[in-house]
Amino acid sequence: MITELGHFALVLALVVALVQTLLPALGAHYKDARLMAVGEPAAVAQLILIGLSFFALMHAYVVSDFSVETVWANSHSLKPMLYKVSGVWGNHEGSMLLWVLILAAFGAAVALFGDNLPRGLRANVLSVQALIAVAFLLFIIAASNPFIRIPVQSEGRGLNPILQDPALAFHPPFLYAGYVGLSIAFSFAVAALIEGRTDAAWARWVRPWTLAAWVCLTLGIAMGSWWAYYELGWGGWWFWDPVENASFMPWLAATALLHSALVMEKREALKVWTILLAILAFSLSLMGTFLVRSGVLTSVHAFAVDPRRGVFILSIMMLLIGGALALFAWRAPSLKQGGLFSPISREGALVLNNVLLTVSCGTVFIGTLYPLALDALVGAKISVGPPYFNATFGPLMVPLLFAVPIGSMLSWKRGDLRGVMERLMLTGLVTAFALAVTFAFMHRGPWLAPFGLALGVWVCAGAVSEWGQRVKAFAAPWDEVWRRARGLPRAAYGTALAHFGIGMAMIGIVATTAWQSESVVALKPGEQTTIAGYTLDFKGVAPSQGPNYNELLGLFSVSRNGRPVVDLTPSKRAYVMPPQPTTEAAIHVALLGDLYVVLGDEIKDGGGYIVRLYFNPLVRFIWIGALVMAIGGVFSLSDRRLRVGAPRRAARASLAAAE
Amino acid sequence: MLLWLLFSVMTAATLALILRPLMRPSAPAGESAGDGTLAVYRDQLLEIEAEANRGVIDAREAEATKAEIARRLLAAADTREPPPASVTAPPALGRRMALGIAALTPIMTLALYLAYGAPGFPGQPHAEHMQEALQRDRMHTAQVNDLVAKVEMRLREAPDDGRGWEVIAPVYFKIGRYRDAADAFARAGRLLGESPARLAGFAEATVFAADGIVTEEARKAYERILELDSERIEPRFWLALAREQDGDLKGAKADFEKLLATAPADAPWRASVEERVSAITQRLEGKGPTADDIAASARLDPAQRKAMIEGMVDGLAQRLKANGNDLAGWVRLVRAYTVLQRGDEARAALADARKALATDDAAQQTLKQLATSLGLGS
Amino acid sequence: MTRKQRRSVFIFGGVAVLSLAVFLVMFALKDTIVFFHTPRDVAEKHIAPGKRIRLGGLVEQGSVKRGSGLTVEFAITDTTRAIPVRYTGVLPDLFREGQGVVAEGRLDTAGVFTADTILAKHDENYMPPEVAAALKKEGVWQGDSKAKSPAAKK
Repeated sequence: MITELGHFALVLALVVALVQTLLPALGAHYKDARLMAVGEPAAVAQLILIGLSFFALMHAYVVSDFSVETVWANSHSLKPMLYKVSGVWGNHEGSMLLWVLILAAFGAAVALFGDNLPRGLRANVLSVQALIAVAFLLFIIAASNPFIRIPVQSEGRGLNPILQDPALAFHPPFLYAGYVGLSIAFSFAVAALIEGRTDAAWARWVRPWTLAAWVCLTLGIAMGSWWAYYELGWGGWWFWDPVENASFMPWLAATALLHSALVMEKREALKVWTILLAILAFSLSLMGTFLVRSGVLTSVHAFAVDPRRGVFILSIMMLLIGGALALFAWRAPSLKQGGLFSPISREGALVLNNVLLTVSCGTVFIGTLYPLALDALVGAKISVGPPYFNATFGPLMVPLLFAVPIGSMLSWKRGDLRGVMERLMLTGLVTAFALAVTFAFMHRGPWLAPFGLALGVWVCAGAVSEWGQRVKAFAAPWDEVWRRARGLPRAAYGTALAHFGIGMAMIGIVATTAWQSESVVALKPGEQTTIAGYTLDFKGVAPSQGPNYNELLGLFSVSRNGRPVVDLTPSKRAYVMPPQPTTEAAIHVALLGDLYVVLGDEIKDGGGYIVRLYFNPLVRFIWIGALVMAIGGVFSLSDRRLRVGAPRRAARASLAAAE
Repeated sequence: MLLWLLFSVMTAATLALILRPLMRPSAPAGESAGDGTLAVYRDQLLEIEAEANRGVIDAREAEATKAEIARRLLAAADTREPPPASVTAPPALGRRMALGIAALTPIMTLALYLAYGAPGFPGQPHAEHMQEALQRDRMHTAQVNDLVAKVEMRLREAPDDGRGWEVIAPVYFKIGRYRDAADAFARAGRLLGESPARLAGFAEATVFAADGIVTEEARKAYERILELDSERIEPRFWLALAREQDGDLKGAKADFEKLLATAPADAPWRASVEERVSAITQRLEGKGPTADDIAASARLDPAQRKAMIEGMVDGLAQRLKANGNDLAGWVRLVRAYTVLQRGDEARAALADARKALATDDAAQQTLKQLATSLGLGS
Repeated sequence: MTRKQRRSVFIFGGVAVLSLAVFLVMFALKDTIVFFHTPRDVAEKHIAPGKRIRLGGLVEQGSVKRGSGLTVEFAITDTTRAIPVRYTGVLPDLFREGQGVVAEGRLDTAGVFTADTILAKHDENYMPPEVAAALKKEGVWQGDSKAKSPAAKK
């Protein structure tokens, strides 16, 4: 019965979304406050109904109700509880339900926390948000309904074992929160176009939503990369797989949007561009959903393959993106342009940031879609792999990262490049030192690698130095520094942290890519091998049993310079349901790099086992960097200045006092 | 009924929530559309002041920025729109619209829901489903027992009703009353005349009653069947088994092998014969349980016998863990676990078997069939 | 700087970055694309040895030979033709005889394909799409009937 209640709630949510699409927009058009006021309770009702529906589905998974088709197809009564719950979104139908749940949550957040928005704008935003919900709810109910019932089955078919993993259990919710969070920026952009006006206030309202989406997207992508790193057993952390690109492109666009909205808020410039970026960022999210969900590509995420659904999502995309872009073409010329600035200024630097980010996003776009287009048009099957992306995306990142410390020190309107260079003297010295040290210790790898590493150091040191100069570290008495450090707005800390994080990630990426050691050896029990200073003794193999799998453990003792370091047990697992083998790498995490061991097949006739080893220097920096970036985003988000409504009363009071 | 009640409550609550603004005689006078904008600029001014106080930006820059923001603030204040008229449409229109939505919503929802939903479909949590299956089984047994009692009553009144005995014999067999089944088959044979089917029923029931030992009676019955119909297979199997149980392993093996030689390739009983052959082979090599062990097992009480069987199964599992290259052994183990209702272990054994015999495609096929036939999933 | 000059700086800068990107993309696409071929294509189109390609098909039954070391030899077939493949390293979990596989590498002059990457399907119901399409053309692969729901079976 709970299942049917959930199904009914879902249908009711669709009707509510329909009401929410029509009434507030009509109200905004005719300036009828009552019609506009329908938007808020409708958004809340929609969240409650979709939430009910989602929990009904989760209930079906938790109690293993195999009369529900998706539960039967994706779950198993013996599965650990965590994966029963995460199984809800481990498949197409459930993940789409999660998608609209998050969409409704963002809509309700605008309704509940948007008290300070102009009524017309809020009504239009809620209307557009509801239109997206209508499209996707229709899609779910008609083409991927998670509540379809079947004659009850005695046992489910289980969840793909490589998806039974804690990182992957939480990777989709974060990724979706990021994708869908950008819908708010989209709705704001469309609402602004409908109203025909935008201003600094608009940018300030959009920024926190975009920032929240960006934080989630950053974490989601990092989690996905981390999962691929240890679960797929290839020692790589990013494969330029189309599905990865599908999440990376919205991230690039969102990053650009964050920076351009800043210019718009402070200087009322780049209005048209910011609106366009907001539309593009969400369009790329939709495209990501389309790519993953339609089956036009097949990759790691090939567990949802159904072309009929693809056509449906494609129609939704064309409707939303096409509609928004047409509106943009029609209304954008009427938007008033704002403040002027010279090329050498904070605004100029942010424009450079935007140009580079969008162009690099474009190269990723081409690399991802070119094979599809070629296949569709000519029928030739090609693959565009990492070499393409390294050759296009990489070079574009170099000027971007180089400009980060400089740009964030330039002042608004008209900057003093010479002054900034003087202030970056120390940063430059640190970077040069890092470069020299790397060259001194490097005995192999591409000659460009130390420069890449130095670039990362440059960004990190630049972030620290900017902070240092703002608090006058070493230049003022300590209590003065402390006072300044406390007085610095949280958004400034956020910026510094995010830039520091990207520098860290850069260092990790360069180090891992350039100096990874790999070795594939055949080992018999009792033999040993060495890699990157570690010695591994292969003791043999032992069978073992997990909750829903059997495994063969390889037993290794690792030592370094004769001193024992750790015991590693990579394994080959055989899952019971569905019956499928997986490889579990064993990873020894150390500050300087990961030792990564994979147990391969047994060689016939007592030849031992194939063992693959990697040493990935500084690989942790990639994910720690991403985490630092996300923390920076959260810091900025907590800045009271971004919560426009909160300080208003206080602001009025103090203004009155000042008068 | 409850379901429909909940549907109605859900719909009504939703409508009440979203239509409330329409039902109000007039919306609260809204703030001006420009208020938020002004707040942002005021905020920015304060921020600049704070930064200038902290010395993050110098005074000249602060003044310039402040002037610019002030300009924008004034411009925004100028274009400040009047608050939207609280109600431009007459209240009646709002109410009519609300009524329309209130009427359309349930209709649309219901139409869509009925197109995809299954309101009559009960939820079936796994645990409950299993419970129900068990319940059904018990009810079935109760019904059968009832039926049996009725037939027995009639037979007590008319013990010469051969048809009655013949009807009840297989039922006895099914519900596990083997001794009664053997007796009923025997009576039916006496009253209605000897036939291979009746003899076979008697013999099989006798064997089952003796816990798998082919007794002298059963052996005679099987021999008689072969006299009547030499084409029949199962007597030859049981007779071979009898030899095996008598300790004549070589003879039994020869008989089984003869049986195999004449068996069609797709005979469903092939597997069990092959199983016997391999078991005997092992015993000949001195591995399996001896005749004495089996004889001992027949004399034990049920609890002890179960313990012994489990001991044997565990021994088999141990052996297979050491050397997994034994398809027949694996099949026996999985079967045994299933019979002992140790489903998880059966599944685990199946998985182990698959792994141990990963390179043997034929074995994989057999295991797959085994899994399907025992309902262990594919 | 006048307003006009400022604007031209931005336009010039934008065009410069864009053309750099276009140049990079063209250059990279020319050099890094890898074409997919079936064994039949290789025979009919005379793929030059040394060119990097992806070879897809089924692992031929009984063709997998593991040497004493790390090198594995097998053949990829589209059921009409087979091409011998040599690979050194750890095979993916789901590499099996008779299953779909994609190998990336180069042909040598003797017609042996030396692979440096082997991609196998990621789960039981998945066939690499290029392989599925190629095999459908050969009429070998009929799609996956396992994926049907029980409701459909009844």
